Amino acid sequence: MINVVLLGVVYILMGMGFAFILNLLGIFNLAHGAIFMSASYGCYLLVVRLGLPGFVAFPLTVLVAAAFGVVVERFLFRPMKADFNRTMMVCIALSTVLVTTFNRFLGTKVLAIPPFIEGTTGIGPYKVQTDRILAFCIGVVILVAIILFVDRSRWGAQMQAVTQNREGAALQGVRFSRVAAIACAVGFGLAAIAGVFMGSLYNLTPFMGDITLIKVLMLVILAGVGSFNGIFYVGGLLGVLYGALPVVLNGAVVDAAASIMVLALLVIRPQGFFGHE
Amino acid sequence: MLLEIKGLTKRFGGLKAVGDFDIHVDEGEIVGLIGPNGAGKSTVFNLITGVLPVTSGTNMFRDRDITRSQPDQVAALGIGRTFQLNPLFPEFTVLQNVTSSFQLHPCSSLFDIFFGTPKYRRNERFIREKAHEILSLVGLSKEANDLARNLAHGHQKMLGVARALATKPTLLLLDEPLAGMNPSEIQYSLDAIRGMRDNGITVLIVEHNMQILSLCDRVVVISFGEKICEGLPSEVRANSEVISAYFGADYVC
Amino acid sequence: MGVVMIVLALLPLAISGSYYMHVLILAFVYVVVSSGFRTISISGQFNIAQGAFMGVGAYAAAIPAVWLHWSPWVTIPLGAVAATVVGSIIAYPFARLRTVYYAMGTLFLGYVIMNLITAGGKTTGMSTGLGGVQPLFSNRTHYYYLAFGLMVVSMACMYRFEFSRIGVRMKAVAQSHQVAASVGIGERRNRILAVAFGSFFTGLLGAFYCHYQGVASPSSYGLGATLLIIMYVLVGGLNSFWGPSVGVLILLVIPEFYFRDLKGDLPYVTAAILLIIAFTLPDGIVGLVNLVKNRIVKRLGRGGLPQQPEGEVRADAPGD
Repeated sequence: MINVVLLGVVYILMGMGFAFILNLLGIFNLAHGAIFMSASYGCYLLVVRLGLPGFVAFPLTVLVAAAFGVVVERFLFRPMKADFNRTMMVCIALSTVLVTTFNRFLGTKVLAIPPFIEGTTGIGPYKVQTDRILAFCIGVVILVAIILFVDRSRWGAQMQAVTQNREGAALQGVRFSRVAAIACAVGFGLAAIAGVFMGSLYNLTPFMGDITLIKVLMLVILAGVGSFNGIFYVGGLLGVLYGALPVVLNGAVVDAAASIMVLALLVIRPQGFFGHE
Repeated sequence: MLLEIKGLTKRFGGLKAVGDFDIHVDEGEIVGLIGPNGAGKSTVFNLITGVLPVTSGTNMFRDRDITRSQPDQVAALGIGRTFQLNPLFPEFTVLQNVTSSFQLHPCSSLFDIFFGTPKYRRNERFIREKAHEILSLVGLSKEANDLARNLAHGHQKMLGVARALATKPTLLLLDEPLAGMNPSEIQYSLDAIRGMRDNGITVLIVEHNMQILSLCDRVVVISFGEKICEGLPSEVRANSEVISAYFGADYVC
Repeated sequence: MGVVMIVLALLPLAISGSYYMHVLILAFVYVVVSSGFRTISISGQFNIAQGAFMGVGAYAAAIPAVWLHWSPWVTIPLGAVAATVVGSIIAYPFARLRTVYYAMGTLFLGYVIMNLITAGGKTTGMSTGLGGVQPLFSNRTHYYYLAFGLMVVSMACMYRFEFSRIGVRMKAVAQSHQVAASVGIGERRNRILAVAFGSFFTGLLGAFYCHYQGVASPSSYGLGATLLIIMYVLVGGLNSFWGPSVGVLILLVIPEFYFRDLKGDLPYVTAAILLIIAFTLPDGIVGLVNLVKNRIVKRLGRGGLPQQPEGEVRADAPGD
């Protein structure tokens, strides 16, 4: 059960990161899944190969990913000037390199990030691994922090301004390049957090990013482009659905039903539940 | 009656952009639809041509209900239009802009086009000649092979008119044809519009430039989405409500 | 162009290794499928479900072939028709979506299609694929000529589609759907037509491919295949008719012919090529060829070629 809830948190984190880049830069970041996967492997390498403790390796992975986001924005995304075809090429190239590298060196082995804390904690009648509870708490704290960041902080306000009207925001003195860099850092950082959580839940594979990217698309389409908070609500909803329904229904049926729901929504309301045109 | 609009209403959420608006256009007329910026003039055009869905009211064109028609169906019935902004296909040449607009007369079926039948080739040759004719009419012959996006603003607007003419419209809707033009271009445009009427095209013009009045047979004034008066250009010019709509209530003596 | 055709037609006499022939058959398939992608894209639709459309064609051919023992000569056209039907039905709601949203929607759609196909239980062979699709011929040379013939016909049809008034309509819709509608070019109708037309040939070659392989497996048609197609198209040039063919030549044929020992490192080379194209040549390799050609013509003092924004590459440009 906690696994499913944690999975919901993973998708929301991913979705938020994806939406940051989509809303602010107008870029469909196909490499988002690859970043997620790389962070997972990165954290594994830090913990297992370098023997760093989990509470060092985890923030380090996220920071590296965020820094990588800034670099990618500056040297890969910005020169493309938001041209759709060109950013597509860059994202595919980035994703190819990451997937190939990890597949080549670590792809054949069965790997998982070891738990940060051993042992279990009792919640009522259930026993749950402590590290999952910890991960869940960290995830929720980060999500709340992100929402507060977007809603309350000065940078958050600038970001919302850019989402709504880039030229207008520029006239008001918002520096787009800085907002874009922050968006990429946050986006990649969130993907990294999600990746580490995922890596502690399941075994790592170089292709774990693809299916997660699909789930994220589902989330973003349902929530609507341009909406941050919508992702939070829809993610919660999907988490509950995916968590509760398999108890009574076949998992594949739930997946098919969700897929059809998304396609139906695309037909009826392309702007999503929480989007606005 | 060519075009008859009754009780046209459009709401965006709670905001009423156009309310209970009536207008009719007879064959061979030039009718002006004037009003200050943001009065809902362009919205009326978009409602007539089906770009925006109508909240309530009916649009009749040649006794046919076009209230719920799609923009391309409206065009096929003989209503041509120009746009205020970005009136063209930027990546086509000027000539291609016009030839690509000949979709309706003469019309080749998909079969004819795909297999390049003699009928299709004949049509295309005819279209190319016609397109050159239209370009010389609006004074763009020299620019025929330039990319449309490289044209000067005034020329772009004239190209928009040329494109609309290519659909062989019975009724032509001109959306602010004079906006952003210099005085000599304005004079040229006014003459061109008069020329179209002489060729049997009925014209409905949206403008906020009052110079258009000299051209119109009849003028309808709209303000805040509602019709405030209608009449001959001279009557409208003297009407105090119009003046207050344009310049604010203080100006009314 | 004629020279390229004759060389390709005579090639089986010269090459002995059946591996090379296999690569060329694969290349013919991808040339058509990538060009199908481009045909859909000229109406402004970046269709990331292209691999899945290919899969629809493949499975629509494989299922009757395996379970009902229908002749391949029936099932291959059936695959094309099935892809057209599925494509057109899907295109209807998707005709409202634009650029990024369309791309996201179709990426998701491709996943759903492949998911539904593999969810078909024994009928579709689940995720391992449906084996035992009966072969057309026993001789690979025959396959070669069939693939070649299908490619020539498909490319001729798509050429005609693009460089006639239909293509003009598509390009008009892509540039401005509002202006297009104002002259009677309906957006939805034309976008559906583009998808129907492009997916017909995509399904056709998908069906051929599964008969050639003897198996319809989801791994040949999912997102992976779509990404390959997109790479071919973008590297060759999305804005020129021969772009996808050139992309296949550069990213598929040349590496398989000459750099097979690179295998593991090949994705890096591909990624590097993609980045170079993205940074320096937004119009792809064919765009570069056109640029150079224009330069040379200008240097010769003939005042440059008249601009051809339709992207009409002359037939003597290096093809596939």
